[in-house]
Amino acid sequence: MKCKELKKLIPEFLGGDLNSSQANDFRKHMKSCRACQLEVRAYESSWEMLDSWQDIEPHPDYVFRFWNRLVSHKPWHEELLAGLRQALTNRQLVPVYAAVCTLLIVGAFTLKTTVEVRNPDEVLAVLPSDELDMVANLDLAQNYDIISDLDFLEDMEIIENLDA
Amino acid sequence: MLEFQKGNVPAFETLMRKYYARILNFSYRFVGDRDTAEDLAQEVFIKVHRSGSSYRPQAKFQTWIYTIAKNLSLNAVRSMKRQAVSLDQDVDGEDGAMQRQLADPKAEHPAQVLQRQETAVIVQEAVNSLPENQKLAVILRRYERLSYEAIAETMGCSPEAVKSLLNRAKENLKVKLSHLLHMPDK
Repeated sequence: MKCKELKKLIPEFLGGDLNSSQANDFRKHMKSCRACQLEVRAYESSWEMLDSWQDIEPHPDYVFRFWNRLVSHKPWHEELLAGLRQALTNRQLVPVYAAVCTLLIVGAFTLKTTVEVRNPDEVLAVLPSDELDMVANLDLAQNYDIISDLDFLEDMEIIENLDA
Repeated sequence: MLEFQKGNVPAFETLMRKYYARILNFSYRFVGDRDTAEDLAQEVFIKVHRSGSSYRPQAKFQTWIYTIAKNLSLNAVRSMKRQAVSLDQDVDGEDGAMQRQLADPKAEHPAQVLQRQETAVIVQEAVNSLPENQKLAVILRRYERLSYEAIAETMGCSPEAVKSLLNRAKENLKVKLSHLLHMPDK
């Protein structure tokens, strides 16, 4: 095993995560390489140094504080309402609320105009008479092409039977 | 926890006395502020208390409570302004907190006490400077002594990912603490 290879495996070796063959090669190289020994020692020492950051003790009354806090702790929906109340009374947000309200009003008005269902009697009242006739006789309008050629069709029958 | 679910309130206090200090220290090392850590520890147990009826023993209680602490601590860190710890400042904002960090000042030479304090500050800085995931893995492994599997469950990743995070963290810590490694032994 070479130094470069060993240095990559140092954290795993210290964590006991190398297989037995790799660990043996690692130890074999370490015995004869002072530089790698120092490198491994540096890893070990820096990890051990973390002990210098010691624990803190809890406040002596932490249990009492907890029960007091639990009693005064609001359920989530009350916290949400309190948050909303605070947001709505924030003066700095007034322009934002004004913009949102304006957009909502304009949007509602636009939507109303677009999808408005008109009264049929009102529609009929403003239609011109020829359009009104067409609407009243819609079936005839659909067959207009046939109707307009009706005379020709009658003559066509005579023409076809002429030879007979 | 199961006893508490049955209505045994003293069981909850037993649970609290067993885990409170560990949750407090976990939060303290992650957020870097004692007062915030105390608040977070209290919030963790409020959540535990309120979840009493819905708790299911599918995971170990320890993993569950650390997951709650992790989530609350992450939220706290992301919302608060971080203040860098320097050698010129106290390790903590309160005068009393420094003394609590010392094992037994009367048994040590003042020079050794001072050296330990300085080392503690540098170590704290080094750990705080790690990426979030590496820092979390280091705190759970080195200080809370959790197994790779427990850390993996808490962090929502695989044990192999935890090992990888710890390996990278060890490399980073070696670099950041290398200038202290030539200090004379105590």
